[in-house]
Amino acid sequence: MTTAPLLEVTGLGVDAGAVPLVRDVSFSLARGERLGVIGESGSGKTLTALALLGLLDDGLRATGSARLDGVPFDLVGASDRDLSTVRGRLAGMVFQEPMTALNPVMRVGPQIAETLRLHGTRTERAAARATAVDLLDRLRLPDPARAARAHPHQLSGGQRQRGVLGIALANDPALLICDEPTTALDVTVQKDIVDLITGLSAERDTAVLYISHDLALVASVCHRVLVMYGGRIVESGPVRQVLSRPAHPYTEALLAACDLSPGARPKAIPGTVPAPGALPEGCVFRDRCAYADDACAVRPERVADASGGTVACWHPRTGAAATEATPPPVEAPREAGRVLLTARKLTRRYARPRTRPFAPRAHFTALEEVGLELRAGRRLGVVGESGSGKTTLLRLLAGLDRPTAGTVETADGVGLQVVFQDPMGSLDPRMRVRDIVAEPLRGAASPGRVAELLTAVGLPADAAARYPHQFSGGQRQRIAIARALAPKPSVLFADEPVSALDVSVRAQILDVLRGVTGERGMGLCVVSHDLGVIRYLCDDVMVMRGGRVVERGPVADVWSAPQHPYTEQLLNAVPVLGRSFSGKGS
Amino acid sequence: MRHRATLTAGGALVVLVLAAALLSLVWTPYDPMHVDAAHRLAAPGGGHLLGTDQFGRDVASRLMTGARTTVFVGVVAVGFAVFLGVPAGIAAGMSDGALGALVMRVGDFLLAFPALLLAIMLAAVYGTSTLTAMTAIGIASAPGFARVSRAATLRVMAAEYIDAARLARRSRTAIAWRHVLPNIRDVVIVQVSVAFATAVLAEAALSYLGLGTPPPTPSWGRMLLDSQELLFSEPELCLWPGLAVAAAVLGLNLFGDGLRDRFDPTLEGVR
Repeated sequence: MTTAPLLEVTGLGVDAGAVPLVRDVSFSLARGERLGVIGESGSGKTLTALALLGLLDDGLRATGSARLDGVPFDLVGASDRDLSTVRGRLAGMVFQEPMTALNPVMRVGPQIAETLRLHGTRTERAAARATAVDLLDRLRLPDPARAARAHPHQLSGGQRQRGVLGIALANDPALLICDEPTTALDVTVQKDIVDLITGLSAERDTAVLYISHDLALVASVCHRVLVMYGGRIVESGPVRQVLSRPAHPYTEALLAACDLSPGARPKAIPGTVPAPGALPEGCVFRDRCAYADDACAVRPERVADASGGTVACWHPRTGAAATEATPPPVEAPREAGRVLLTARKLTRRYARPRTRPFAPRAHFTALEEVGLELRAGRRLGVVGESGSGKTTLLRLLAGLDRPTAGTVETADGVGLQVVFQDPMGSLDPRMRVRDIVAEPLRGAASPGRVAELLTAVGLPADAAARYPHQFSGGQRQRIAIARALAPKPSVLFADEPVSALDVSVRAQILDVLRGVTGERGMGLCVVSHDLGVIRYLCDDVMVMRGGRVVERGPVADVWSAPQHPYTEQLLNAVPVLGRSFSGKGS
Repeated sequence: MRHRATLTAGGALVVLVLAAALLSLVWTPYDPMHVDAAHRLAAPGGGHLLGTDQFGRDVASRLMTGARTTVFVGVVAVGFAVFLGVPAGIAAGMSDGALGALVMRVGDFLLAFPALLLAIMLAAVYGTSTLTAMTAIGIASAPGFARVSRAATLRVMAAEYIDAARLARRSRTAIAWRHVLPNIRDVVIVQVSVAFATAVLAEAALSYLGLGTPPPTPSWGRMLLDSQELLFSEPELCLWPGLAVAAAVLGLNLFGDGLRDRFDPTLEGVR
């Protein structure tokens, strides 16, 4: 790059009182460049973005310097009044949750027009509104004039996120900051939004700072990438190089942890992401690193390596190790055993609220005539996007809801248990772990049995006396699995069991689920939007859309030769690391 | 950390009232009922810290004993309201059908019914007594508890751990005891402090109207009533019980606000 960088960040730090949350973050961003920031929860990636725009919560303090081209002052430490001339004009921001990013009582068009008028791009109300509609059109919203007149709740998640994008891009900013912009969206919608962001960035020469936990997604969007851990940048470089030949052991481990491709076995990173105050001295990754030795007690500086990247490590990887995949665990062939549960023509309708008094009640069909059979020792995956009816199906099968029509029959002596999506919400915060795990045992729980269950899911026995909030997300999900296993169920249902978890611990939970169901000839039924999870875990798959099953079959067949166009569309929408590298020119 | 200051200030006022009430059980400067014609309307200071009233009774002693009445009425009335309102609210929140609607409509009816009118009716039937006042205040406060309990219960019932408990074949009663009650405890505690403040005011108002604690037992409302005829000649006589009521209500409200800020995770970062 010959011109001066658009954004130059030097030694950025964020502190909460005496606890450092972000340290020594330095990077530069050129015009039109798309820079990814990868990290798990607690890595400081969101705080970094918020600090740049002065949007940190009260009680958090930013230090260091961030200069944006064309702004006479430093963004760090600038007054709110000064920053308001930057935010929305020179730098736009897109947040994760499109519902709360828009004002629910204001129509979408006027919200975009407001941004135009506040920064003087369009001073006339009518002109601003017209420009807003143009913008929505450029964001490929069908019927943009109508979308501009809609309130946020009348739009779908993807449409709302386009509205947010419209506000961020209204004044044609030089910098767009995106914080997990598609995490709350379906994969097919994610693809559209990501294509829009990359397309507009290329067309308008807009620089993008793209924050995400999804490595494959960052690979498909960005030119360069920063990998953050424990509030620090541990590695940076061209995205293709960092994600194919990682130099830092953390990047390498992260790649290994999210590799759900056939023939591979995702390898969890030992330990958990430490709390900001509990980081080790020296290298932040030291206590979870396979290569750590005495040298790592001193913090390594981030130094440039031969291939144009930087890495902060005393023992950088050469890249050779990254390619060797661990073969998946060898499992004894599992015979499909007796039928445990049969569902026939399951239908679930919900009454819609009346639009006017005495109007006939409208109904919404969440699930229509779905049938299935669960056998001992088989694992069924149900895949679909939001509104596909997959969670409704699971609730009907587990007996948590009653079908409008159809039947669920369980064989004699078959017990059902569920592992829920949100490991915080599925554990009573006021109960000790031993009481949570013993809940289904109804008084028949000996301390020995609780300890045995905790051991089975890889938790220390002393966990029994503690409360859920004292555990990390992954550990909480283990507790939920232990509870589900307590009454020795024949069928285990899992509703998005890993989607709320960090990438580095996802693999552990998948292996726990795999292990406990494999040993005991259990039937497993996993509901997920994540195709990789289903493929890794299941034997058979059911693809659902709009309350119906569009395709079903053995996992291998459906992946290699999808029969239904929707299945194919789903498979293509998921970003895959290898594909991003082969498909992109830069 | 504003909520910390609120909590401390409110807590200090509440403790002051409680301490005065407790101390009055074993010691007061003078006998609060002792009529001393020789020292009528003594000025504050001297032998009597806050002076004496028109019957020569020591004002400070009567304030302390009055605090006892107030605390007693508050505790019983709020306890009654909790006992009535919380189970009704939990039941309403756990059943989405007719029972929930019925409980809430009964609550609406009670809310719409002026509490004072209720007290007058009860007094007309059962005569004026501390018990009547407590019953009236308790009934009037119960809908508030039913409302907050129901709202909190609805939130708890939407959590996945309730589904897990249902899968564990726990009965509805067991779910209410094991899961709902511990998780709505915080909101109920906040409501207790708010209802207590209302009860203090209501008790003062009822006594003032002669519908509460009958004489000669000292109460703040009765002291206000007694001092009314001397309002222009001896204004400080109504100042003391007035200040006592204000301090108790302010303390309880601040304490309740502080507790709510502390317990409510949705206010995190808003402070």
